[in-house]
Amino acid sequence: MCSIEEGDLADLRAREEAQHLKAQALSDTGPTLCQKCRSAPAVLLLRVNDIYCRDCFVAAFTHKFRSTLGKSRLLRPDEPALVAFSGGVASSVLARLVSDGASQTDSKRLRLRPSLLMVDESAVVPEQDVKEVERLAGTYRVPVYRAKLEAVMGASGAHVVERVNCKLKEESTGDDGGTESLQAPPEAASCDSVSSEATVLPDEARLAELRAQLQQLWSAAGSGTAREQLLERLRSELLARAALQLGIRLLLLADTETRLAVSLLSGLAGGRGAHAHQQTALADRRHGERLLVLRPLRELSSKQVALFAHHCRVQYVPGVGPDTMAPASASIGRATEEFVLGLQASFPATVSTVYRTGTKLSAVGAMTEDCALCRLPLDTSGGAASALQATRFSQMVSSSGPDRFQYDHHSADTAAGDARATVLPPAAGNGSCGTDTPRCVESGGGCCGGGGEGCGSAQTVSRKPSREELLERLCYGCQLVMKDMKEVDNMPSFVTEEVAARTRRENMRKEIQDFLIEDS
Amino acid sequence: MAPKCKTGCGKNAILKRPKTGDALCRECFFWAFETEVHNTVTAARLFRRGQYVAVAASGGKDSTVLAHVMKELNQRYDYGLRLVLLSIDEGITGYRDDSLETVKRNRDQYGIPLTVLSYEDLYGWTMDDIVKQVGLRNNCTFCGVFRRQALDRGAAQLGVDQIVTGHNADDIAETVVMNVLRGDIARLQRCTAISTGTEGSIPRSKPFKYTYEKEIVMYAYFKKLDYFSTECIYSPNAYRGYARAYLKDLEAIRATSIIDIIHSGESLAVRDAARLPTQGTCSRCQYISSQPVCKACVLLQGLNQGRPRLGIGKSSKVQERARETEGESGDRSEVDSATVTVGAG
Amino acid sequence: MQLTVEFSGGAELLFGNVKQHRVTLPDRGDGDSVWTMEGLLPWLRDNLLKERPELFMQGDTVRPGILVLVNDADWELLGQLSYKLQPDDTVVFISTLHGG
Repeated sequence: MCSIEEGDLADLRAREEAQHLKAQALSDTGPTLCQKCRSAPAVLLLRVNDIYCRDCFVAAFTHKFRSTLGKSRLLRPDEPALVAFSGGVASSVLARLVSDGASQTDSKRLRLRPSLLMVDESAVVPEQDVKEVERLAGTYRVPVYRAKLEAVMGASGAHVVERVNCKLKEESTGDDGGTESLQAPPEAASCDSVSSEATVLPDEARLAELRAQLQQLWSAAGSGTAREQLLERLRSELLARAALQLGIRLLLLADTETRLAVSLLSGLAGGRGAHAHQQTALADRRHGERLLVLRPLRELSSKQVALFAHHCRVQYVPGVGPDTMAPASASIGRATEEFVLGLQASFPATVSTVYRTGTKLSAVGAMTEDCALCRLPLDTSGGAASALQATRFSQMVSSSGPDRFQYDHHSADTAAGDARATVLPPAAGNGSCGTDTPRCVESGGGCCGGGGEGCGSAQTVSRKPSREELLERLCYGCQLVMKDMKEVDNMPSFVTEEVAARTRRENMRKEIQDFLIEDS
Repeated sequence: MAPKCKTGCGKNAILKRPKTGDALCRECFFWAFETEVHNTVTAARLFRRGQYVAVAASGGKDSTVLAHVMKELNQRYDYGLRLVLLSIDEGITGYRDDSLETVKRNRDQYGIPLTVLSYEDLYGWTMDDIVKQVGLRNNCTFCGVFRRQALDRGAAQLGVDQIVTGHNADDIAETVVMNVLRGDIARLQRCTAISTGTEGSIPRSKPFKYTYEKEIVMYAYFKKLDYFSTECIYSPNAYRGYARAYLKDLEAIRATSIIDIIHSGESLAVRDAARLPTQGTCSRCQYISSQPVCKACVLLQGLNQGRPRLGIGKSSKVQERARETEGESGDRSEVDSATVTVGAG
Repeated sequence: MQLTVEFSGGAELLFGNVKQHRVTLPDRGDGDSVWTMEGLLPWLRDNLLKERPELFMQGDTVRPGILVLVNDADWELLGQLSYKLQPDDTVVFISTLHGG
């Protein structure tokens, strides 16, 4: 059967065009010249056919960074900015750009007061060389803060972040001759004047408890994908919390265009279509008005970032994580990265096109609640005809079989009627709740199985929410992660607190239900 | 010791559902498969009583199973539909003969009448003839355009109210990925809709929207339904192959990936309303077209005037060339509008 | 012929965690001692790589995501696999997969 549809051939034509353009760019005999200055020999090829010499490339790269930051129009002059720093190539390049920019002495000075924030993930990623990351962070001569990943498991008010290098004053003497001591923010000049928030260290004993809890959560993750997503969520939450505690309103992330393209596509694969825009946006506002998260490298590919690092001698550590050297089959993220990079090799506009697609998308409809885990709007309202409804229906049908399944006919015209169905309890009461309340059917999966696990028991709000209670407060994508968890007893506080708060609110609403006037 | 069917019916399970991972026996699987399609149909209100519905039949697995299930559900749940099989003969020797035989078998086995329309009838050219003229590089452009229109023209000729096609969940997920890769925002927005059709054209729906391809194969296998499955001999190795492989990898990692992608597609919208091309009609054959002259007419003009590259390339340039050369000699340079007019309603 | 070969961005993990290597390529034996990148890659894989060849090469070229520079210039400007190596060239492999 022919599977060719419109557009398929346009792809092949586009590839041919790209190859043709590239060949044209390289067709001059003798050394190819930079397309910008036309005098120095070109040393790199970017995108389809852009060729630059080293200096023009560095200038263009820096300019792109600056203009992306400038586009946000949300920066106040000389405000403190926290740079999320992992020691990897992208965050090191970002640290270099920001610290160089901030320490310029002319009118083009970048008017930010940067500091670096590193996350110690060694509790779940033992390969992380925390000392080396600290050392690298220290080379930028700005305040460095550290937060331990396990701290995010604790209550929202607890302190998560500590200052790392207090030797700034000593280091600033005797450095490369002549230059005025760095434009470090006044507060960072010595540890004494750092805000009290940052000097209060998290309680060691408590941290050890949280560490154990984190490790249990980690081992409950049943797949590479679940681990990958969990780590990303926890890290993001921790970064946000740390910034707020330090009283810094601006957080810069080192996401490159390539990383964003991959995360967009893997997000789609994981049911996160509703969040496509937020995942690639310049400004991420999910933490509300108090925190602005920016992605100034979003229009720079990982190739450009790596080449900048090479040509400007930026040091970094190779990224380590649960998926380092893992095969494509290990997780959705890995499979997507292999796919996108593989395509990029043959179709050089892939990464930028995918990224750009993300910037043009938004979510459907107006959601009123946010996901308790990722803080983006819920997308689980479904509709009569939706993938959600179809999935629930499949689960119901697979567990009931024809004998215990009953349609409620609302109209004689079945082909157009609403398909409401009930699952009758099995003959012998094995693993069923014995009742078929509409709630049981609607929340899908036939019977939730096992007595008080949440079947209609919305009254009791236990400290640890049940799986059902959790799932209700999560978006589709986060629900998938939860489904991969063997148990959900060790969720971080910020999630359980949120779930409990919502349930309490819902109970309140139920009490006053009859007296509410609404037009829905 | 064989595992028991998950439903508790007592029978031995003979397969594991790719969609949910549940072990089911034959009968419960058949029932689950069919009931889910019924749910898709009713939840989306695809049909109205008394409608005349054409099943696009290619002889492949999707359309064979679709024809079978449509017949089955129409009877079991009394949809009250009048069904017809509609098959398009592209005129590719060998490939077409076998699939046509399958479709004829479907007609006999299911008792659904069959109409076959050929490119020869509609356009005056078979694909074999076209390949002789344009070679193997651009022939697929022709087939793609012609086939889409052929289905609409055939449906119009029959006077049906709706066309159902066998596009399954895997196809739709793949299309979502393809549109993201191409940055085709307009298509991305529309591709997860279960029913498509613009003003004046016959609506097409996909009852298999949430049905996994693997389950279609399983259903056909256990029901002993016969189908023809070979790739068209002219198929080039396109971009789509990569997307397919990616989807298969995803499915291996997480079985629900296919539906998850469809959910993603359903959950997204375009930020600034995409400027969809305004739909008008072709000045020559009255088919729906966003250009003054529809693609098929342009391609045909090219074929008939011995200028096979007329229809290839950017549409603006194409329209220019088509207008310029309109007066030149050539017979049958437009689709015979007397035979098939696809107009309003 | 002597070359300097460098690995970074994580690629060094496949080569015993050593970033800089000085390699001596043997004469090709067919009288013609011309080495191209096309020949160098499998030679590196067979003689220097410590593990997971599929993470370094795919088919006859480097795995997508690995950048190649020769004397600081992007190999895409030099003909990629067909580039003829010169004595004392510096070849750098940078992995851009899941970095910082």
